[in-house]
Order: sequence, then structure tokens, then C-alpha cells
Amino acid sequence: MNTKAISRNMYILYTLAHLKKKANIRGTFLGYLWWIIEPLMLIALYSYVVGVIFGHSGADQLLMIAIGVTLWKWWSSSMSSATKSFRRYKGIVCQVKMPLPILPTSEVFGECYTFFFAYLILQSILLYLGFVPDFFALAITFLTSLVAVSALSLFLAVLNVFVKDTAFLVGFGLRILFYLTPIIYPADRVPENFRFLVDLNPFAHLINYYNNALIYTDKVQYENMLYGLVFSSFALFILIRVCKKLTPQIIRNV
Amino acid sequence: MSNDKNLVVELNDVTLKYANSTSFNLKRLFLSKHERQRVASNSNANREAALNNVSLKFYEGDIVGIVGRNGAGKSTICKVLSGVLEPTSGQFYSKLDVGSLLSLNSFFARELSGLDNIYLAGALLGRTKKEIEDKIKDIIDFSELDDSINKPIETYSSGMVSRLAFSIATTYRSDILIIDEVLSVGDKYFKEKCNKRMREIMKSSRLIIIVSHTDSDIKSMCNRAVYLDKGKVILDGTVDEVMNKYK
Repeated sequence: MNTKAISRNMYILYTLAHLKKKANIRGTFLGYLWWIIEPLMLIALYSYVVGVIFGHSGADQLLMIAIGVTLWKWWSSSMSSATKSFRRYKGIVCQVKMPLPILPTSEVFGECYTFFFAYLILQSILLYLGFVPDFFALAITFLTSLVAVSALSLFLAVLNVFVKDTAFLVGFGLRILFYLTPIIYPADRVPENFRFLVDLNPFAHLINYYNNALIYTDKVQYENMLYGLVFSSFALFILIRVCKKLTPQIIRNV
Repeated sequence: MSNDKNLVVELNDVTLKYANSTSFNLKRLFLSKHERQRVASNSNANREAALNNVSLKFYEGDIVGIVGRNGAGKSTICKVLSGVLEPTSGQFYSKLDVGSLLSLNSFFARELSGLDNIYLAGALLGRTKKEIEDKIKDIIDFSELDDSINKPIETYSSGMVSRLAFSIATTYRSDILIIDEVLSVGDKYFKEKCNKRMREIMKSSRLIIIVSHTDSDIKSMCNRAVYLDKGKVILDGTVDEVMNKYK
């Protein structure tokens, strides 16, 4: 692929991601403020449930909930909208010559905008409380999650073309995953027999990387994180190849 | 179609087979064999080849009308020409910038506004932000959408959608223009405006393909026509010859 094609594809990716976010808030009274209000409301809700009802107070715990919930919002909205992306952009899929993985990936990047706003608020609070992040670890973690979520989104989008039930499954699958991932509870509360649910869950690892990079900087393990990055990049690479191979069938079935 | 013209696009013995529909469905498991076949044939899932050994040559300056019944393979040939689908067998050769060409039925993202779709279409056609912004006023003026340009496409009438599609396609000039049934919508006044614009771009475009069910569109604009049926070329010749046979 030449540079011209790459810059065109990057511009398509940017345009789709940017316009999509703009379209979501069009006509709303609060407009861009929703990008901040939405995560704040989620954080408040889960902090109330965990801190007040379950009585697990402690600043660390609440901060970890805030980080986890913000991240989860990004990942789950990306994946649920990416699942239906080929169908939604049917006109583009069927009529424009372009690499199809751009479509689900644009959803992940689009949701990234909202995440970024919430992250800025979170980071300011953390700095105010005296937690200085490990920026290098944070950068790797961010990249890893971007790649991993894009890979999963692409997988779900392709699957949904052939098995239309995927969109329904993703809905409650994400809810189940939310509770299986140590977000509103710390990982060490999971009993030994069920530990495999955490170990096998890529989101649990990602959340753990973020917690370490943002709060427990002394626990950062670069080697571990690099494995994560390499593994998710490999998965994305394979999925892009598969998607390319399946393109005629996708155009036919979408 | 004389040979002294510059050959720009060539389809050589192109066959395009659609893979059988592979969508999984629980209901199908419970149908009897007979019913399964009936469902499959109704849904057109078993139609094997959408294009069958099609050989066509397109020369610079051609304005080709493609006619044929529904399901004849007209839109499929457009997809092959635009590079969206690769032929199952046979060669497709093009000197033109195939990446930047589309047929414009409905590639709009429906939840985005008209203006956003102008940006999106520009990006899909490989234009830069500046090139897009230079053209925006032209597109809006020509489409006569005025303030509606800021409303989502899903609120548009079909006439408005095709007006916008036509404006976008003819303003972002590319080497090759494929118009798949866009001309048939729009009122009489706008149609005249379209015809005028078409005459303008005929001079600058290298190849124009028009798919239409309206005889007068083909007759007034094209200098060549192709009659397709069941994925095969029945006749490739002058507009009059083809239109007589097609009737």
C-alpha cells in the first residue's frame, strides 16, 4: 500500500470517528458537556453502590472504580456500535473500495474522544491527590487497549455479518463481562477457584495495567505489558487478514 | 468505439460468482428440504454467477449506458468497475484511478448531516480537507438544500438525497463517474439542471457509466450502450441499436 492510500485511509478513519461523535450529540441541549456528564454519572452511581451500600470505602477503591468504569464505558460502547458497523455503513461497504476494517475501528476511535475527556478529569483528580502516573506505562497501556479493542470490534463486526445474533449476544455479553472483570471490586476478592475467570479475561489485565500505570506505579511490569501489546497486535493483524479474505462474502451478506 | 481511441478500462472474460449466502439461521434447520430450496431461490441466495464471461472495452471519452432488467448484473458490473468486488475469474484492467470512483445510490451515513456526508464522501474519494472545503459551497448551491444541509440525511426526502448525491458526485470530479439510478429522482426543473451539468462534465471526464431504466436519459446522454441480461452481455453497440433490442 502506498503512502497516498494510507493517508486517504487515515483521513477516512478520522472523518468517520469525528463525525460520528458529532452526530451523537447533535440537537441535545447540553451538547459536548455530555462527554463529561456521562462518565461522571456512571462513576457516581458505582461509587454509591460500592462505597455506601456495600460499605467498601477507601480512596484507592473509589479511584479504581472511577478508572475502571471510564475505561469500560469506552470499550463497551465501541464494541457494541462496532458490531453493527458494517450494516450501518452498508452503502459504503457495498460501493466504495476501501479496507473494511476501517469501519469498526472508527467506532473505537470515535469513543476514544469521550474517553479522553473523562480521562483528563480523572487525571487532574489523581494529580491533585498526589498520584503521579508512569507516563511510559500509560502510553503502552493505552496503545494496547486501542489495539485489543479494535481487534475485538473487528471480530464482532465480521461475525455479525454471518451470524446476525451476534448483536444481541454482545449486548448482555458485555454486561456479564463487566461483572466478571475486577472493576467495582478488587481482583484479590475473587476466590481461588474462580481466579481463572480473571486470568483469562483480557479486560482484567488491561484494567490492571491502567491501575498500575495511574496509581500503583511501583507495581508496573513492563515485560508483562509488552506481551499484551504484542499479543493484541498479532490478533489484530490476523483479523485484518481474515477480513480482507472475507470481503466479497461480507459485501454479499451485509 | 473505433480502435484509435485510448483504451482505459477493460473487462476480459470476467465472471463473478457470489459465494452462497452463508448467513446462519436456526429457522432453516427446521424446514424440509423442499422448503429450504424454495426459500433459497426466493432469496436469490443460490444465483450462482452475477456476471458470466463478460468482456467489455471502455475507451476514453465514452459515455456508456448500461440497460437491462432487474437482477441483470448492472450494479454488479459497476462494483467490479469501481474495484469494490474482484472478479472470480477473468481480468479487470484499468488505467484510471479506480480507488476514487463510486456509484452513488446510498453510500451516505444516514445519521450524519448532509454537510458531514459531504466531508465523508470527499474523504472516501481521497480528497484532502482543503479540497473538500473548497467545493462545499458549490455542492450546497447546486443541490439547493440550503439550511437542510445541517439536518441528518434520515430526515431527507428521496429527491433531496439524490440531489445531494448527484451534486457531490459531479462536483468532486474523478476520472470515472458511475451513476447508478440517480438521475431518475428529482423534479423536472432539477432534472434539466442535471442534464446541463452532465453535458459540462462529459467534456472533462474520461469515462462515464450510466445505469438507468429511463430510456430518455440513455438516449440523450450516452454515445454507446450495453444491454445486459442474466449476467451476460446481449448487445454492445450504439444507443439506438441497443435500445431497439432492449424494448
